[in-house]
Amino acid sequence: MTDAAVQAPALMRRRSAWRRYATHRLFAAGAILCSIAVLLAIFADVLAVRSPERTRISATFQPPSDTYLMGTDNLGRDVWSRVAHGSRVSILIGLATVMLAGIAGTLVGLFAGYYRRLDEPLMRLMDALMSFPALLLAVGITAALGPSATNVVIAIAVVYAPRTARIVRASTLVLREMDFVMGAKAAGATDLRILLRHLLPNCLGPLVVQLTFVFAYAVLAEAALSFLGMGPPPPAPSWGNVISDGRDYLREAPWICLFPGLAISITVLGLNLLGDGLRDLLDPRMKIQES
Amino acid sequence: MGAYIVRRLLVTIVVLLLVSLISFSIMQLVPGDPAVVMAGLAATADQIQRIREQFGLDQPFHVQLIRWYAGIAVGDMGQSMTLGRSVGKALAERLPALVAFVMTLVIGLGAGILAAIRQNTWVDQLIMTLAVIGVSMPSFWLGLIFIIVFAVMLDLLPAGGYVPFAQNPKDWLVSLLLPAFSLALLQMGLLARITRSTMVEILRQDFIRTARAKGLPAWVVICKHALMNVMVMVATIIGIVFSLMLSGSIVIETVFSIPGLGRLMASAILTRDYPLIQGGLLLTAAMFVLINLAVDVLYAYLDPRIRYD
Repeated sequence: MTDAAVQAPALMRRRSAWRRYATHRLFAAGAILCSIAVLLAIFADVLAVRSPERTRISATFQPPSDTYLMGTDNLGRDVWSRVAHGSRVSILIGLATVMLAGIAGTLVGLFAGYYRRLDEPLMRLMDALMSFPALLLAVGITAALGPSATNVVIAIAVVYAPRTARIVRASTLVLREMDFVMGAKAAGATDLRILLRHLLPNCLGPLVVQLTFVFAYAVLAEAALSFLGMGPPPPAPSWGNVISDGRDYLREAPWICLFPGLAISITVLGLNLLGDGLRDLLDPRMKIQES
Repeated sequence: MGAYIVRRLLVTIVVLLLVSLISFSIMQLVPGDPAVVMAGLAATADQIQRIREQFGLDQPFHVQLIRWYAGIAVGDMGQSMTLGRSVGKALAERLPALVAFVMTLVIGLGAGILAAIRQNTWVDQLIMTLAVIGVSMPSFWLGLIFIIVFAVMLDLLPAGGYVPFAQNPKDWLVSLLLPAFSLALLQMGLLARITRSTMVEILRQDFIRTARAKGLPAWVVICKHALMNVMVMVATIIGIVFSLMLSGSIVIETVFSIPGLGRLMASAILTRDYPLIQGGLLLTAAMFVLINLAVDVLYAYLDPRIRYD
């Protein structure tokens, strides 16, 4: 058989997978909304030329117009620039949280699921962490560590890592009993190798879905923390900061609060749709049930 | 059943111990000296020393911890820094209104059931679209938008403030309408989604088909056969809904200036009132753990399969 003949079915499979994703309505809509947010973050400098931090005494409280797309705030700062540049802070915090909560949660979940002796202590600790109201724990941690972008990430990750661990553990518990794990053991694979090369790849589906939702929660949590004055310190804008700044001028200038909130809603909506779509696509059982 | 409850109780005690340990350790996270942070910028060395002694911060960690536990055992969570009274009192005075909770249950459940019954029609799609939008909006921002629309533009409802129930029940309800709705929307969306998927699952079961086949009216099948099973599922997530509600109330009560547990915690955090933060964390987490314990026991009672796993 030639190489081409071997590759053809694989290529077709890949192409049909692409098609499956692209034609899934939830997934496609979510992907489009998320891309908008990511593109805004990448090209903030090009899309919004005015500095987000420069104040103009002569142009305070300008309503949205051709010059100021989203109006200006109490210091004459351009709200559009602040929203565009704020997307960087919000999305970077989201990404960093996903990484931290993802790595920590996956490690705890794998160990708890694979080693029976670690299961009880680790999962009870996770239960305890999950007992706190999510935002209250995050706020408590940032209050103790001090408000900064890094501490916000740590706080939100502590809140969402246990939820990730629980999902990874559930998958690991099932996979642990499977023949291929016994096969790997028989072939002399070390525990670490089994965990990382055999179990982890098989947990990826539910893990990716969960992390999409963690991203969404992180964006919302950052906004709430900033609103309470526990977020990344000013003058650098984040979506939560901008809403918080505009809160005192609701009557005179509602646009200051309106637009950053819309940006958050669109991003989180995109992430939620993406997560729902991925769950449908990665879990064939769901698909059969739905149809 | 007895063995199940005992086992469940033991696990709860372990989790509660860990919860209290975490609540207490929050203060250990403070970089440097918590007494300096608590005293504020203008404090003299003398004042800092007094705070250190007052809160036992000069003692080693294990002594502080034992003292804290000894206090909790007799219902004393220490003195609040800023409020000048005991933490237990400050928390008990301000248990938040449950309007949002009732709203969530009624609207969230109703919408989820309706979507499941009218599966794959425009009703279903509309409800599910609203539900996913609901879980995507920051609740405090929604609250601000409500203030702009209903208080500033339409002048229909108050923009904030709180009227005690004893003073005037009607004004009490009016003052809570906007905050309760902005707080409840997230949970409504979640609950509607979960209710729908559970209901869809149940409607496919054999006993539902049997009930339909023997000619029962549709509403009897839905309300009697299906709804009971949905309620059992809803009971299992009551704890989570409650926990989300407390999370949301921290910001919502700040937006609408309502003197509830959430706002109390928010101001405790801003003023670095660590004893109050510790007490609030412990209280809310303990409530969550105990609600879940009650739900699990109830669940085992309703569904015998659980007891023997």
